[in-house]
Parts: sequence; structure tokens; C-alpha cells
Amino acid sequence: MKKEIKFRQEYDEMMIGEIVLPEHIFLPITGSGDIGDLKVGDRINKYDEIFPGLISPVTGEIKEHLKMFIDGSESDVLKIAPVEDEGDNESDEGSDIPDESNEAILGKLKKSGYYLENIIESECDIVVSAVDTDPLCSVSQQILRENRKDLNKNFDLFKRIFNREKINFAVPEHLFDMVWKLQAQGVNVVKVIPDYPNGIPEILISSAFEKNSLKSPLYLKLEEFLNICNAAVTGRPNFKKVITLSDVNGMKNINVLKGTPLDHILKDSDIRSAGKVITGGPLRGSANFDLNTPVTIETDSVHVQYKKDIVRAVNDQCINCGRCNGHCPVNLSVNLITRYSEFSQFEKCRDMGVENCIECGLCSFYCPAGRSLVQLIRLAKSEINNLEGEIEQ
Amino acid sequence: MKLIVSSPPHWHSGSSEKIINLDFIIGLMPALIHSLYFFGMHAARVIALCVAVAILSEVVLKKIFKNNIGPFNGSAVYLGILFSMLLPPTSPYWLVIFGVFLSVFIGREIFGGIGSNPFSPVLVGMAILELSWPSHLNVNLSSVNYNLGFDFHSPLTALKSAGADFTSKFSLFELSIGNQVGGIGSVAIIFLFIGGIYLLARKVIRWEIPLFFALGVIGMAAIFRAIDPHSFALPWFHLLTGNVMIGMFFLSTDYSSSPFSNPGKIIFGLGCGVFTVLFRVLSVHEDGVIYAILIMNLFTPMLDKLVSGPKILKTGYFGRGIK
Repeated sequence: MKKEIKFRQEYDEMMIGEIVLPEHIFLPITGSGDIGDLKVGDRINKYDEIFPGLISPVTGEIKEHLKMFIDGSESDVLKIAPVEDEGDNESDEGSDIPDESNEAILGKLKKSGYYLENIIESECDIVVSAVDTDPLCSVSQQILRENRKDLNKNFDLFKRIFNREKINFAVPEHLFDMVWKLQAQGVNVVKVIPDYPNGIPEILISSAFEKNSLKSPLYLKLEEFLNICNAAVTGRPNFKKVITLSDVNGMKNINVLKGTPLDHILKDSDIRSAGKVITGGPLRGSANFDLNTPVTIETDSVHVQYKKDIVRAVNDQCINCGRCNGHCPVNLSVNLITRYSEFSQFEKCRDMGVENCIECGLCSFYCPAGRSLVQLIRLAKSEINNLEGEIEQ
Repeated sequence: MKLIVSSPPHWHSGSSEKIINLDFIIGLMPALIHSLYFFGMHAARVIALCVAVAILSEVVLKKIFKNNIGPFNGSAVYLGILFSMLLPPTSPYWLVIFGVFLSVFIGREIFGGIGSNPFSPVLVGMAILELSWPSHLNVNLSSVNYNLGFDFHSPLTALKSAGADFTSKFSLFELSIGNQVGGIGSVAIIFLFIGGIYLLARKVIRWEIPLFFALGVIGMAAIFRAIDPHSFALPWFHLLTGNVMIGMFFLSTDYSSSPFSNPGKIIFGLGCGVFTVLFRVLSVHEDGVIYAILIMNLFTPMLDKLVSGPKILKTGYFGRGIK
């Protein structure tokens, strides 16, 4: 049975479920990979600062220091075996806006791993988005529904910390009624039709805020925005991440600890015979080869495909029907670019503006010849990068 | 657990070349049934021969050119049916075989197969036949032995030889329901129109080319009519005769020989319409649709440069999660 594919990202309200603590978590170390005095076998406590910007989310023993492939690049990872700690009091003792000085709040943010002074100094416009970036993902919508009562407080706090007159807020059309009142307090609320690819940051900022002419916009997901606000109040980071787990039969939202391996999430939902595990949406996401890959702040959705549903690449000859061009959100001549790329004429690809491609995947989706157009575009992009590197040398 | 990895996207719309060609064939079905009803076994003979030769020559030529034959996608069947729609029912078998073979060979395979042809393959074959054996394709001669209960003068011959005043004896209603002399299926105006609407509804073709083709014909014919109503026919007469309707929906919308940019499509359609009327009025040919579309095919690479270029998106700090 073929399930109807929908690009409409309008989903009903659903509960955010919880799952048990995993056996191991994988904590990516950003930056140099230097973890100071810590070594394998050490015990670390929750809220310990491993190095500035990285806070341990659990109490537990460091089992391994290894390299892993996360979000398209290799990074150093700490494998930690967490222990259940009963003494964890995550009560919302201070949900009111504190009457503290900005320095005190920034100190709290630093304690939570957020180093954001440069945002205060820079002139950039802040865009908070509650529009989900990919189909089969309802994280932002769900968080907006859950937190709609506190949004006004949080926006006030955010404006105070970062010294902004106005903050831009993109919401999906069907949830506009919940937040339109925010406009009275200096939040520029913009309605966005929740159709893929309108939620992709580049497109959201270019089309939804066309009239506002934003200056070097800073894009924040609603979840990140709320995490920052929460850290400013409590001085503690939020180690949880809401993800949408979906397969042919449906979708659900779960709240997991950052660093939880995909394996654990699948086991918890009783998915045993996955053929493809995709993080980052079915149109732009990457298929994982390693189920130990941890959930990061980037992981909004985990989509599971079973063997029988997997799309096979056909790669017939292009018939020039022009559907790719018709669906391209950045108006590229995809049919020409990909054929140039196929026959290694990368400079012509560059002349046609291939670097403007945001890899939304719509061209490949609609291609009747089943060509892997995104792959050809990526090839062209990387070859152009290589060429330019050679010229510079 | 063994996992499968691939480059995104991990979804596909499910459309395929096979479905597209099937849609084109379904679009031609009303006209095909009309032709079978009118000409009976004569039409069936031509259609069957066309399809058979098209499939056979494609397979043989792909083998000779060492081109991947690939799965059956129905493009040869569509080419065969479309070619037969333009032929008179009395076409001799060698003419059909020769025409279809040339369509597949010179029209398509020599350039590398489907998607690479600069001209509409059907029109290449038809143009060669029309220039080489005009007498065999003369619709008036070929239909002398039929009696179908309406005037057996080709309306376009009448216009060419007797002037516009003589065309008043053709009622527009009769013309539009297909009571006129012409190719097997190309005269089934209303049936081709229904097929064309089906193609538009299925989004197999886009509306720009058919609409502006029609506007080009009407506009150019109206200009001539305004100059001299006695020698030039009404715009509607031009629209409802000859190959205009099949050209609008089926011949000019061939994917690889028509432009893909939207402004290009508009100019392409308009050009086809304008050249059609110019050929009818100023040349020795009665019907100029074939040549008009072939001429506009020449402009396709130029028209494709009319794309507005990539939309430059705003840059900023995106995605990567602030730390």
C-alpha cells in the first residue's frame, strides 16, 4: 500500500512522550576535541563543565573517547554510561523573570554553555521560527502549543537581554491565533503557510520577511529560543530535545536526552526491522549508517523506512519535461545544471548559479526519470569548491 | 541490523516516464476512437502499422547505436499513434514505414534518444514525407472514395483556391465535431481538445504553449481578416481546421523540443500560432502547422535563456544551533 505523500506540515496536537534513560549516551565535543584533565574511566556529574560551552547532561562514567560521523562531519565523541540520580530537582523554582542585571543573566547563560555576547553587540535581526523545516516533523508546532502562555514573558526577557527593539517571529498559519497578541509587545509575528519548503531557514527569511528587509538575520528555532530563555532564568541548560519519530504507520513526538543514540529510540518504540533511518526529514535528511549516532540540537525528526518502502534510484535519461525547474524554490535550471554536472562541465554549472541551491530535494522528488538530481548538484558544488581552492593556491 | 544509505531525498512522487507516456496516449484516445469510427479498418491499418514500426525501429536503432534500451516506457507507442493521426487513411504501407522510421531515426535516435531531440520527432518525419510525396498526403485525393455525408473538400484547400468567401459554407460546428477532410485524427477537433484538457488536468503539459498557440493563430488571423475580409478567413476558421488543434496540445508540447522556461513557452506558443497563419496565407502550403512548429523548435535553445535566473536568497546565521 502506498501512503500518500503530503508536504503540508499541519499536524494535530499530540502528547510529547518520554523515554527511559539510555544505557549509553554519546556527547559530541565541539571544537578542538580537547577535554582537559578528563580521561576514560572518570566519573562526571550532571552540570559539570567539561570545557567552556559543554556541560555534562548526566552523572556517569566516561567509557570511551571515540570519533563519530555526526551531521555530515566527523567529530570527537565521549561515550558516557549514565547512572540514575534521584537527587535531581528540576523543579521550575524560578519561572518568573528575574530582576537581575544583564551581567548576572549573561553569567547564568555562560554557566549553561551559551556564549552570546556577540549577538548583543552585533546589529543582526533576530528571527525566531515556529515553522517546522521538514515534513513529518511537528516539533516546533508542538512546542509552540505547549508554551503559548509563557511566550510573552520570554520575548520580553529576550528583548531585554539582547537589547532589541523588535524580534521577528514566524508562525505557521494555523497557529497564528495563539500568538497574534504578541504583536502588541514589539514582536513582529509573520504568518507562514506551513508547506514544505517554506520552513527552510533560507527560504523563510527570504520570502516570509521580504518586506522587513532584515539585516544579516540570525535564525533561531523556537526550541532553542526557549532553551536560552530558560537558561537565563534558571542558570541551567535544557538537556532534553523534542524529536518527531515517524514511519509509515504514523508519527509521535518524544522528549529525549541529547546524546541518546538512535538505537535506543527505535528500541523504545519497538521498531526492529528498519531499512533506512533518516535524520533531518525525508527530503533533506541523511540516511544513517550507524545507529549509535546521537540526537543533537539539529535532530528534529527521525524517519524510519522499511525495506519495501525504500525508493530505488533509477537514473534514466533526462526527458527535459521541466518539472524540476517548475518546483525549484530558487528558480534554477535544474535540468541543464545536472546534465552539465553529469558530463563534468562544472564551470557551466557555476555560471548557472548552482551554489544558490539549498538542496531541498524537490527536483529529485518530482523527476519522472528518477534521476538523483540533488546528488549531481552536490557533486557540482564540491567540484567547484575544489576548483576554486586550486585557483587560490 | 543492516541499514541502507542513500543521498536525499528519500521520497519520490511516483511519477515515471511510463505514466507520462500513458497519459499522452490516453489524451489521444478520443481522437483515435473517432478516427476508427469514421474510417474503420483503413485507419486501424495505418495506426497499427505506425505503432509497430515505431517500436521496432526504436529497438533496432538502440541496438545499432549501442544505446541502453532500458525498460519499456511507451514513448515509441505514443510516437506511432501521434504520427498516424496526421496521415490520411489511404496512406500506402511503404509511406507509413518510411515516415515512422525517419521520425525515430532522424527525429530522435540520431541525437541520442528521448530527451535529446532538438525537433519534435513526429514533425521531422511528416515534413520529409510532405515535401517528398505531396500527392500521397493530399487529403482531397486520398478521400475521394469515402462518402461520410459531409462536404468532401478540405476546408484549407477551399480557402487556398477559392478565397475566404467560399469558406462560409463550412459551419464552425461541423468543423469542430470533426466533419472535415484531413489526417486520420488531426481533424477530430473537439476530441483532441478533450484529450488536451485531460493532459492539462493531469499536469502532463503546461498551459502556456497551447493557450498562446491559440492566441497566436487567432491574433494573426484577425489582423489579416481586418486587412481584407474577402481573401482572408475568420480566426475561428483557422483555429478549427487542419493540424492546429493537434499541434497545440500534442505536437508543440513535445518535452525536449519545446522550451522549459515560462517566458520561453509563451513566446514559443505565440510564434507557432503566428507562423501557422503566415504559412497558410503567404506560402504555397495549405497547412503550415508542421513547418511553424519546426521553425519555433529552432528557437528553443535561445528561448530557454529567458529564465529569470536563480533567486538569490538572503544569507545570515542559519541552522547550526547557536552555542
